[in-house]
Amino acid sequence: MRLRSALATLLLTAATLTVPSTAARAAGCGSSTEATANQAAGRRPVIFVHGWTSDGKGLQDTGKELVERTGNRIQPFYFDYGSNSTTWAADKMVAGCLADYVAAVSDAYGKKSAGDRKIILVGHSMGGLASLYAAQDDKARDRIGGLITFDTPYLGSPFGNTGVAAMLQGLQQSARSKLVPPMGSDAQICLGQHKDGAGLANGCGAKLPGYLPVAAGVTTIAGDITVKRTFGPFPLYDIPLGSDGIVPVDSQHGYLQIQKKPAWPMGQKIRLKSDSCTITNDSMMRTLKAAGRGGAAGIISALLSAYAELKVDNNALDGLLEDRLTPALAIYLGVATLTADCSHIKVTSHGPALDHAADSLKDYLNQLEPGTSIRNLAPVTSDGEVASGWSVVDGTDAGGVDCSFNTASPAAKKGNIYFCSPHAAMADACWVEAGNNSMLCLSNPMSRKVVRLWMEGMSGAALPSGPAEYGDTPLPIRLDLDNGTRCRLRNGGSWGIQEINPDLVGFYTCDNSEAVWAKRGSGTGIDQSGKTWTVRTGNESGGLTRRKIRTAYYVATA
Amino acid sequence: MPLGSRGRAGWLLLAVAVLLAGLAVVGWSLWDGEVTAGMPAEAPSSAVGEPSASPLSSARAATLSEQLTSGKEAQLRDALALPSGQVLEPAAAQQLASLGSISFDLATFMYLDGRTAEVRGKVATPPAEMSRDWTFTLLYLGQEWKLVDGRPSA
Repeated sequence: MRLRSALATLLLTAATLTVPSTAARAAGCGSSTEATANQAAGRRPVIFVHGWTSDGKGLQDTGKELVERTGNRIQPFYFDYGSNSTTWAADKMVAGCLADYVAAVSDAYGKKSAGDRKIILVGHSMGGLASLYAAQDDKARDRIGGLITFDTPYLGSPFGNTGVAAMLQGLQQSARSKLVPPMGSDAQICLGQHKDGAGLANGCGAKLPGYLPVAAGVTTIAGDITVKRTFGPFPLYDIPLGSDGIVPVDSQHGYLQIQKKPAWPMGQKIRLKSDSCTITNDSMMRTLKAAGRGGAAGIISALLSAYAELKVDNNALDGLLEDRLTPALAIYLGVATLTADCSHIKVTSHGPALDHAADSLKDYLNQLEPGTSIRNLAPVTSDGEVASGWSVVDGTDAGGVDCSFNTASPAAKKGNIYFCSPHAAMADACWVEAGNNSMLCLSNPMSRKVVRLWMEGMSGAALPSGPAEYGDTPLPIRLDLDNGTRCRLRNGGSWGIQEINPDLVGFYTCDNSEAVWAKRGSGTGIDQSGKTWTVRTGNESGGLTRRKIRTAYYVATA
Repeated sequence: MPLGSRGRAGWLLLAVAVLLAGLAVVGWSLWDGEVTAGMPAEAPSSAVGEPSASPLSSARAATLSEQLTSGKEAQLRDALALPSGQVLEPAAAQQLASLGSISFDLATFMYLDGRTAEVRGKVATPPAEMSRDWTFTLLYLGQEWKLVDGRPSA
């Protein structure tokens, strides 16, 4: 009891030393990544939300890994509530700040993409719960396109609401200047175990987290450690911990079980993924010895005793079987946490877990991407009449066009759409008009007009002498990009080179004076490998930007 | 990834392990809920570091060697400190039998605390590329020393 009193005094002292002023608490929402930083239409924002006692730097390595594993399709943003990271996720300084941040990042992305404003959330541990609480805020709710969680204690942790957690949190508040949580928002209390709609622990003033909107997918990734007991090199038996050392697997996958079944978000796509790993008792021992190195003699002595206890899994196993956190089990889990690559503190950098996260991210990205829309412009009927909804203007008398070589338009998806000469006439998509005295050409595919080019009496003018067979790989005559820019297929002319990438040539000219650049002989110059096609755009000088194609237009006959 | 690069989270959990270990040894005084000593009922009670069991005798050492390398699961279970009802890997008894026999060096017997100890020994036929010199961890259970594990010297 003396020890209990002494530690209680210590904690009280620590708390007293770190009680924040009102000004400090009102100071703001931490040092998150600037909401407008590096926003690009081609990269979906992914907001990383760290966990209990961590800060905005905690998931930066994870973010870099996922950027790489998704082929630079995401832009990471790191939400930081480090000074309040011992405050429960529901608090306005956590979930409230996160909701504001989601809205800000979403707005900035919307301005760049001129499209949807959806972002994706990736949360570690309590960060997943902060995401759920933030999603209840109207300004964030419909901006969330998916959630991926690493080792989130949806149903709490056996370490939550214990003297151990309280002590550790007190030390964090003291040693690292964490702000003491407001009454009823003590994270270590609220992290106590619960399930099936039972409220959070006594002393926690918050409601249970709500669900994400049904349209947003949820992926829960759970670290799951197995201890392999060996004698020398020989395996004796396995102890499946069913835990990442801190949070049981059931809780890490307990998104649905937060509430009772009638409240479940029916129709929501939820993926349960596990990152399993095996450690040996010998590796745990090495961890313990490493932890004791440099420590006080008393601690080392205690560790050695604990190590001996660790060696006999009896008590740990009994605790697992009876679902109670015995001292032996707590030690066992603590050491396993420090040893195993899939543990609570290591899972966000463990390959299999990152693979799961990347797979889900790619799926969410694909779901959020509408893909490139393909349309045909068909201004002329098969009878050579101007189609409904289109008009015709007479071309200038600068000269006739020669269509006699019967070449199909490069953008043709139907036969008998001709590519005529010269380039200057912009006659790369022409139809023979009824009466056989003129051609109708789609000189400007941004308009709803065709140009009539009279053939009779024009020098050099010649009608087609036969049919034109269209090719297997037509080029869109018009591209509408994700930033609103519209680009027309190049039709001859003398173009400069791209100074930084001299091996590229221009394929399209755009209405913002930029061009679409690609390697000569690269077919369409368009990356058509995904659902959303992309191109690289820019001026002759300066860098290029990869842009998504919202709509690609070909030509056909009505 | 090295623990050090995990930054603060690693530091935190290191503290957890150290503190939990310390707390467990001193009796888990802070624990608000379940209070168990974490010690098998048969073990003699003692303070940390104060031996309360007799050192490993030569007779018991010989028995341990015979049981461990018998190739029979029943005898192997008698030699090992195991969780009750724990199923062993089917090949465990035969694999351990391949060690031949163990010659414990009782002069190296060292208490870790009152009921745990380490002792060194030589195995007759070690696995390929492993040392003959091993270190064994012992636990005093049911009034006798049992083997917790053994590991060859690096």
